[in-house]
Amino acid sequence: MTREPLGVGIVGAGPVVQAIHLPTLARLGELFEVRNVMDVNPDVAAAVAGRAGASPSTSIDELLADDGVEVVAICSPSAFHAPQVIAAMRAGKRAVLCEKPFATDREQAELIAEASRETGVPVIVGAMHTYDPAWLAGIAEWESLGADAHTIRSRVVLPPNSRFETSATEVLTPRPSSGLPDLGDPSVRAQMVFGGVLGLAVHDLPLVRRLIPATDEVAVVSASALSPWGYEVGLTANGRLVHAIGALTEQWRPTWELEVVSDHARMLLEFPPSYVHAGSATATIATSARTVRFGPYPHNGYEGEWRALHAIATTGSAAAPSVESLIDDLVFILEVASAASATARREEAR
Amino acid sequence: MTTPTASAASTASTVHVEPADPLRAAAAAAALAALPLSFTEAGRDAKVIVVAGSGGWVDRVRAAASAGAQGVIVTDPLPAPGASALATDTPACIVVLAETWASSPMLRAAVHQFGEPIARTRLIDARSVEPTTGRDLPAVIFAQLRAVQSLGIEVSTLAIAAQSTSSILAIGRSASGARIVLSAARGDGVDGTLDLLLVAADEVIRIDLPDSRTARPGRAVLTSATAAVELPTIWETAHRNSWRALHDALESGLEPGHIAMFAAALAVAPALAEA
Ligand SMILES: NC(=O)c1ccc[n+]([C@@H]2O[C@H](COP(=O)([O-])OP(=O)(O)OC[C@H]3O[C@@H](n4cnc5c(N)ncnc54)[C@H](O)[C@@H]3O)[C@@H](O)[C@H]2O)c1
Repeated sequence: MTREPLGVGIVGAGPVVQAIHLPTLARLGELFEVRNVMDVNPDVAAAVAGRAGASPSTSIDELLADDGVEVVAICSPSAFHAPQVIAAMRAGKRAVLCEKPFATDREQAELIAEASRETGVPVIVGAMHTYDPAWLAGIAEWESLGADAHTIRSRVVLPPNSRFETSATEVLTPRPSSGLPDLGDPSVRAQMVFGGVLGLAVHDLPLVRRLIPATDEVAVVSASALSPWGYEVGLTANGRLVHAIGALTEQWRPTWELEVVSDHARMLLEFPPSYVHAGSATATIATSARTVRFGPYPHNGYEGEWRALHAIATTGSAAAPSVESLIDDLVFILEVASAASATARREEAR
Repeated sequence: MTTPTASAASTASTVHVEPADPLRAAAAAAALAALPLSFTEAGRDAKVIVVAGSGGWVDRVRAAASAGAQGVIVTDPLPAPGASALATDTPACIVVLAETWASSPMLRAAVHQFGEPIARTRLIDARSVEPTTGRDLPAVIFAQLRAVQSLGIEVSTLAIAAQSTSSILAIGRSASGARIVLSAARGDGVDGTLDLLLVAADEVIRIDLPDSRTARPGRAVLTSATAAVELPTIWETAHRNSWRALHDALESGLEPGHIAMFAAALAVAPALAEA
């Protein structure tokens, strides 16, 4: 059965769209066609739309008024995500993909939930690891073993983003280089840890939530801002220990690992860095009887999320994750981010 | 050119392995068998006495010294609070600790080759999974702390941040302000490797240290902006490495300082010691 590709509208056309979404959509040409690209910067809108053979817009109303746009991807800076997701829902589009994070506070998340209930428009969040085929295979095996995770440790140590962006595309808008943060300033530390959780840990916290029975008793037990940029966060949730490290460095080797330990099994997920199109993660599960490995599969979580969006938009919202679960993810992420940033702010000067 | 570990000119030291703890005694017997030129087995009046590091080891060290031993090897010493006293009221013999991880030859090689980048580290993250039949989790954290110290990092503070029957997390700082994160989980299907990650602004060092009884080599890799350097593998157990340290110390008369460092670790984190 052949279908017409779905028309895509993209809101915000920065490096993420240029390096991640346009190359992904180019590989999924049978499923999608980019029809409209909006950016508040008209030059960026025109240039990026031109790359995709789409029409440029400079306002979201203009993009939503384009009848060729059937699904919308929100890729603007985080502060705009919630109102733009809601606008796309209210415009009656078939489905919405929102880059992570879904929203930056709980009130915004509630407004999204309300709009979703009223309009019935399904939404997915671009937390690509949740769509990575190795994660999906790994978690299925983990659950079939009946393994109950008691310890989860995440390590994210990355070279500069430009290393990956410039290999995935020709970036139109290079990022401004940021100065060296002053960790002696409590508000700098607090902001760094909050930003680290919402920017990097955000990809794995939905996986953590899937791995532990509940996250209603979250206590942050350690948090620190790392020099020159990074975070360290330890927490307990319903008796489980979760620890996460994220650091941006100048060295070349990307490390993105999530380790999950139960009494009788250990799962190690090794993800490729963001921005690149290098296939999936690998998931290695060891028990005393044997070690099994899933992946690498040819496609990554970015392709996974667009495939999921296509399925939802064409077969109906039954295939979509419940908005409640996306909001529960966000509430967990925000709770960790704010408690960790408060701890990092209080840390004694060094 | 390779040189033999012990030259034919140096004399073998007689050694006696106390049988108290069968597992530790077996590990000691394996180390002894791997150093046939440096050590020969003898009875209780041997020059070197090998004592088990299980509960009561501090008294066993003192007893061996009083009985006239010139060297004592402690196999897998637990964090016993009494060990601090050995640092101040020193026994009249050389004491060497054969520890999981801290005695690893790969750790020594890393200190030797990567000393400067190690000093630039801003984050030290140590993780391991302890088999169900293994040590208490605080003792595992103590062994991690000893490994971090043995990297030449002066640990100023360390406190347990979370602990359950299945996992433990300890957080601290080095004298130069680096964040120290030590964590251990309990689980089967794993091999007791310590995974150390050191992060600096421009470099990352990753060191894997197997448990002390295997000669499976550890791994040490330094990655910078332009390259990665991996140290040659060393197929020697941590225990054998400690035994060689004692052999060298007996020849040179230089006390290797293990007890002082062990006592320093106890002083930083007394909560990890068993009462
Ligand atoms: N999934 C991933 O791997 C990944 C990686 C990095 C960032 N992200 C997320 O993707 C999103 C975009 O990231 P980026 O690095 O491209 O961001 P960016 O801030 O560099 O660029 C965003 C673009 O949006 C435009 N813009 C600003 N305000 C706007 C508005 N109100 N409406 C529409 N466009 C607007 C800017 O002009 C810019 O071109 C962020 O939400 C970020 O959290 C995802």
